[in-house]
Amino acid sequence: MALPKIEFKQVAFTYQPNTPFAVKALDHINLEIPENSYTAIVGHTGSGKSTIIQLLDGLLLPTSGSIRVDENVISATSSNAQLGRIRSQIGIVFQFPEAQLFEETVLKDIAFGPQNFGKSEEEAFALAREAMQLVGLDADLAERSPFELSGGQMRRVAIAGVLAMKPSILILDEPTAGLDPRGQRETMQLFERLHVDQHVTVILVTHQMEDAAQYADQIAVMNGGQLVKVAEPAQIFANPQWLKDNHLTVPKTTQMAHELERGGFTFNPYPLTLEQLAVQIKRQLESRTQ
Amino acid sequence: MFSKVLFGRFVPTNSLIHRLDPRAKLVLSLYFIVIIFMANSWQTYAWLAAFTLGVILSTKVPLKFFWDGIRPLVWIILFTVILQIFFSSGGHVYWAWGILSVTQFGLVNGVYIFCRFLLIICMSTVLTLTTQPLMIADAVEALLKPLAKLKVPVYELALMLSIALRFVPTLMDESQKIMNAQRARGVNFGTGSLIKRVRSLIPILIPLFISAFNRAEDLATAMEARGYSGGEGRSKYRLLHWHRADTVACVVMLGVTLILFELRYLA
Ligand SMILES: Nc1ncnc2c1ncn2[C@@H]1O[C@H](COP(=O)(O)OP(=O)(O)OP(=O)(O)O)[C@@H](O)[C@H]1O
Ligand SMILES: [Mg+2]
Repeated sequence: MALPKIEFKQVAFTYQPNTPFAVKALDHINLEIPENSYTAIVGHTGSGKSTIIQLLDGLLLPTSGSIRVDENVISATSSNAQLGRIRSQIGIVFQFPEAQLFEETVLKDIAFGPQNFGKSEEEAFALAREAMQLVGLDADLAERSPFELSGGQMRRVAIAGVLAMKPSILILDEPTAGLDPRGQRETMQLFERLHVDQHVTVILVTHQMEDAAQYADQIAVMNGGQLVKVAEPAQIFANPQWLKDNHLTVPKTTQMAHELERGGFTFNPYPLTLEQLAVQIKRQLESRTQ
Repeated sequence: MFSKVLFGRFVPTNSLIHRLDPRAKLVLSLYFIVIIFMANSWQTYAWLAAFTLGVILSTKVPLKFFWDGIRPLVWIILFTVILQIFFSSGGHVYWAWGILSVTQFGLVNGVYIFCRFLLIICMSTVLTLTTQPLMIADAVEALLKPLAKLKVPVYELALMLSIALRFVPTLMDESQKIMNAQRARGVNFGTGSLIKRVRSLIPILIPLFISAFNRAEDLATAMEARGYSGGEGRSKYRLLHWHRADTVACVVMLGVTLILFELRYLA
């Protein structure tokens, strides 16, 4: 069996260790993320999701334990060169990524990442144009200043700046926060397309259980710096009480299924999308009338 | 490395010193810095050092943590003092080479200067360690109030000071976030030639300035929307209260001074 693409081994992390401000943000994290998978990380505010992401990209180094990304290992003693190699294959869309824009033109800003990782100006601009098309930005915005755009457009520029690096692993930290419903849907569908068409390994941090249920093949649940469960969405959302104990909500479709169970319906597996719910209800209604 | 420097940070251990009135703490710290310059012998320095140590211990901040916090600054002072020792003259000459020499006076002076700086740093660190920045701003405002009669814009100055202090941690957070985003896009800070290093600051500074300006505008709008129109005649949410403990602190400081002068003339 092939090794998983990413592997966390007994990872712990403390902010500002050895001071009165020390905060133990993560403890005993063991997690495997297979190649081409779509993993959602969910959990209450402050449970350590953003910290995990920063560790994965070597922006923070683990206090103990290690993280393997392909053949590169991140530990407390990793060198800058090793981290550089890891960063070149990981793209991160941070929370409110439009805060990272700084260049004079949209095109230059998007080409910034590829250029840092060794692409020539020409290649980088080509990648940037491709990324603009991918996120649905009009080509004639290329020479505009990113600061003259609307909030939603700025978000797209920032996302394009990450995608232009052609990462094989894409990390998303609440990428749709603050977007309108249509923008949210389009953005999530964009990532889904990258996952399906270009086999990008996606890791999504989210508070929207609907997104986790719809897109992810595995969900990692965090609570108080611990990884409490890793399983398929249907398994995670099968037990409403357990979800509540971990400060999580249930996707609306699953919620509906739970309510219907009281009226004599049974669901197996639990429906995660509207379509699955409709199919199961239809089947049961039909068998009743017969 | 800067995350280790303690000066300017508030540590909420809620000790006796924390609960003193910020006006008392501010004035007494400044006063202490002045009387440090009255010390002139090892006995006087020992006395002031003992007092400072007592104050540090009574803040309930772990001593090791305190020491780790001022150590980076101590290295800087040590470096200055060593230069000072090599370039001063007078008294017995222990060692000489060209214009460099180590002399008795130079050595003694160097040690004194080192003690002076160390005491000043310790005391001012205690002040910021035990007093929230906004409280320091309030204390400054209260102490400058008499100047308002001379048409000094005291309220505006105090408001500027408290807004600036209030946004230091926010901007630090923000710059950390932006730095992370740019590092993820392949910027390598702190490596390469000087020019390269300076250039790598641009992708941090531009977003930081933009967000700071946006924040300032938002803040101004929010203040105007809630009817802010200058500080004159505004009542205060945080009131400063002078307690018995503050008077006691002043008396203690007076005692320290008396003993200092006693030691000074004994020597
Ligand atoms: N720079 C920091 N210094 C000290 N503590 C921090 C720092 N950043 C985060 N923490 C603490 O670490 C813990 C985990 O934070 P983290 O940002 O990973 O949470 P999160 O799961 O991403 O939360 P959210 O859903 O609100 O984004 C929290 O208790 C937080 O207070
Ligand atoms: Mg977060």
